Amino acid sequence: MRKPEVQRIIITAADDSTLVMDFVTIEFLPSAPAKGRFTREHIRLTRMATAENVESEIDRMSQSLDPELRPIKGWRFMDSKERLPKDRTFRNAWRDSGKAVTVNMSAAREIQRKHIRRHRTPRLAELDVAYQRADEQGDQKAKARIAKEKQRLRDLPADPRIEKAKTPEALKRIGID
Amino acid sequence: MSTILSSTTDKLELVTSSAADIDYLTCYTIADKTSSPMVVKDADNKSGAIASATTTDVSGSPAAANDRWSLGPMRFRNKHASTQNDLTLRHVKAGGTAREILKVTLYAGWELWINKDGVAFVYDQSGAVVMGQVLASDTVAGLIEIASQAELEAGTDVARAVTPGRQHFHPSACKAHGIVTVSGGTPTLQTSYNITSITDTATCRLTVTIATDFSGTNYAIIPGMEASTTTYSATTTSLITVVRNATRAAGSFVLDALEIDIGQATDPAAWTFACFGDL
Repeated sequence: MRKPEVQRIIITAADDSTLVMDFVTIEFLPSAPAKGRFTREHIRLTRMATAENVESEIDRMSQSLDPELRPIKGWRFMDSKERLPKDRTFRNAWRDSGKAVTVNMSAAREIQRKHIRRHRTPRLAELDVAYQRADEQGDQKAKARIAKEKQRLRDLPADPRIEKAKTPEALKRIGID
Repeated sequence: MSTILSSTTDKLELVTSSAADIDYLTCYTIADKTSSPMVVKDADNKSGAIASATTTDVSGSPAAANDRWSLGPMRFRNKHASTQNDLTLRHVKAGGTAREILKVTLYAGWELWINKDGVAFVYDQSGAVVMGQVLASDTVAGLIEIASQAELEAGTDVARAVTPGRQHFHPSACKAHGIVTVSGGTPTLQTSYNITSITDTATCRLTVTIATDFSGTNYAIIPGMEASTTTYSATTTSLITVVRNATRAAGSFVLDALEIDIGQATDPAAWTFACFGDL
């Protein structure tokens, strides 16, 4: 079935996060050709991407948004030449400047810290078990080594490399290993 | 083949059930049996008006023993403004017992035509052909009415027809569905039904807006997704999709993709959903 034609809308929520809406302008019937020219008989739904229609659609979509995202601060049409960031690792750090959507590094750093905290939790649990075993065996060297590794993991969110990272790619490289 | 009158006491008679005025016209051709082959020697007609519940000779009878009448076309019209009339056409052979050959109810303004081949048609007051006056059923061919939206939503009538433009109102019909792929940065709507937009709300979160809303918030959403990898990880692969709590509105809802252990991970390769309920 032919893909619907859409107009992409960039929306700024109340918490400054960026939402990206695909506003359907033409929904095709199964009889529509996969590519190329089509006629009225191939269309199930069609509407203009006017400001009024887009406002109405955003209003309807907003009914399902979490309270902290409402009310919507603003929106704009995304230009056909504009490109969104391809990497979605820091999707929740996307911010719209009014002309382009880019990764806000401050928000991205917080996301990476959360990522580190999430992924170190199972590793810390493993180290807890290893420490107990070493304690039962009276292995002081192993206990010291394990304690040092646990402290390293605890200190990771405060790693100065996170603040120094200037790009999302540099930030991604800072993990728990 | 049309009705043949083959003796001077053969006739067609019409029994009417009410006083609704019936006008009739019977045409016939007359052939001479003595010639071989038989040749048509004349043609004539009989017309009249019936204004009561009675039995009326509507054809007349051959005048001579060797005459053979071929009846048709015949026309019977209920001229009354409001009263229906049950018409029974009977054939009398050689003055004997009348045999019923056709029975039809003509509502006000309706007409019965029997063509020269003996095929009967009933026309309503607008001139449209009434294709049989019995309701169609599992075993009988006949009239069938189109089901309305309310009748489809009730889903109990077994004698009405479902049309393509209304079938989606039946409770068993899917009211909205879609597939949204995720690649190159942003979710993209691939195919859909009754959906006006999708919104990339956050990592692993998709908002769907419906075109024709449900009648309320109590409708079923069947969410699904395509995993982003075949090397599953409990901590990084989105493996479960849920409808986000308290997001189901009559015209929109939000889907979350979760991995098992620690919350949201990477986006799925695709979102799928289907919705059932009352529009």
